[in-house]
Parts: sequence; structure tokens; C-alpha cells
Amino acid sequence: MSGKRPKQPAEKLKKPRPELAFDPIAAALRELHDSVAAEGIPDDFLQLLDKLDDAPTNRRPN
Amino acid sequence: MSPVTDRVKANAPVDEFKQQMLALIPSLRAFARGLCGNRDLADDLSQEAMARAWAARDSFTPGTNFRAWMFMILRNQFYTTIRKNSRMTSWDPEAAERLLVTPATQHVGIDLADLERAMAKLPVEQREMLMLVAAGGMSYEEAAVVTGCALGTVKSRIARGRGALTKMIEGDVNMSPLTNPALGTSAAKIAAPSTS
Repeated sequence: MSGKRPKQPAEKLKKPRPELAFDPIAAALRELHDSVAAEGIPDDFLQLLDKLDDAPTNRRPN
Repeated sequence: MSPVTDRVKANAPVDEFKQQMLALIPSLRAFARGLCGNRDLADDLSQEAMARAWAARDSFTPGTNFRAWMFMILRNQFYTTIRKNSRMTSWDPEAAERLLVTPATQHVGIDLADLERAMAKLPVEQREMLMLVAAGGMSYEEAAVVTGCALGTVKSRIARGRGALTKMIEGDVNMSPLTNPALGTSAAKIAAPSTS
């Protein structure tokens, strides 16, 4: 008689991953961020990108 | 070459650096709005940061973290602006009115208007960390690069900020008048939250 144990499907060998605790503050902050991000890009931002080619170049941002 | 506006609308290729900035605009606006709480000022800050980034594009090393670089420029622009204009207020009455009619989020049970008012009461160094990490999804490491802080400082500011927000929102009762510690200005123009 073999001492080998029968193989189990991979899913059964995996340890269950603990559920991350739901953080309502973090979720609300994400929603706040996403609500602004979902507004769409105003035209003046695109117009700015158009004009940038004429802007002078510096070596440092500030 | 066609203007960016036309190219974007036509889904045509745009200069790579501009393309990267374009992709970041929604996040930049959201971060700026979180910092100053004012739509127009936030957009001004974002555009100024984009102009500065473009002017300094030769100093950006391709392959490094463009997002962190852009956010760092925006953050610097915010602090420069509030230093130059000590009378600047971050919240205007019209914005407050709009906030008061903002519906509570259906998903998390926290009124976004309450959250924004509570955010405005946080010290700016906590608010910016929450906006970068909890709201914007940056890693702690990335937020450390943007703000020039040590990793431990990032974590502790987030923990303190989150704790303060929780207290304010759970306590709820009287969250106004507001004082914005970031700008050192009274934001008492804000109408009291509706208790009905």
C-alpha cells in the first residue's frame, strides 16, 4: 500500500484569502475623487495643450 | 499639425508628453480640488502645473514616474499660490450651496458633502495624503515621492487624517462653521449643513 496521499484540486489547497475590511471613509474618498475625474476634460485644458508649443522651455519645473 | 483639441476628438496621435499629461488631467483636477476645495482654483492650479511641466519637460527622465512628477509640480504650485495669496479662501458660497444638495453616496452611506466639509477641516498635510493614497490610489511610496516625506510620515498622516475624518463624520452634528487650517482662513461663509 502506497503512503502517497491523493492529490487534491489546486483550489482546495489554496488558503482562503482574508476579506479586506470595508473602509467607508476610503470608499467615500475614492468616490469623491472619481466624481471629479468623471466630469470629463474641460475644453480649456485641451486648448492649453494646443498652446504649449509656443511656451518657453525651462530646465526645472519650479 | 492639427491642434490637440481636434486630434483628441478625432482620436489621432498626440505628442507623447502631451498624451501623458492628457491622461492625467482627471486625476490632477481631482487632487487639486481635494487640496483647495474650489473648482475654478483647482483647474487654474492644474493648468499652471501642466504649463510648468511642459516648460520643464527636458528635466523629466523618460521611464521614471511621470504621475508622481506631475503631482509634485501641482502640489508645489498649490503651496506657492497659497503663500502668495494669504487672503485666499478655499471655499466659496456657491460651492457650499452645491455641496449641500449633493446626494449621499449610495454605496458607502457617507454623505459626500459631509466628507468634503470634514476634509476641509483637516490640516492640509493630512488632506493631501488622503487625496493621494486613499482617494487617488497612489502607493505610500509614490505619495512619499510626491510630498518629499518619509514613508513613516506618509503612513502616520494618513492614519491621523482618517481617524479625524471618522470622528468628524460619526460625530456629524455641527461641522460648520469651517476653518480651513490649510489656508489659515475662516471659511465661515459656508452655510451650516442642513439638519432636516
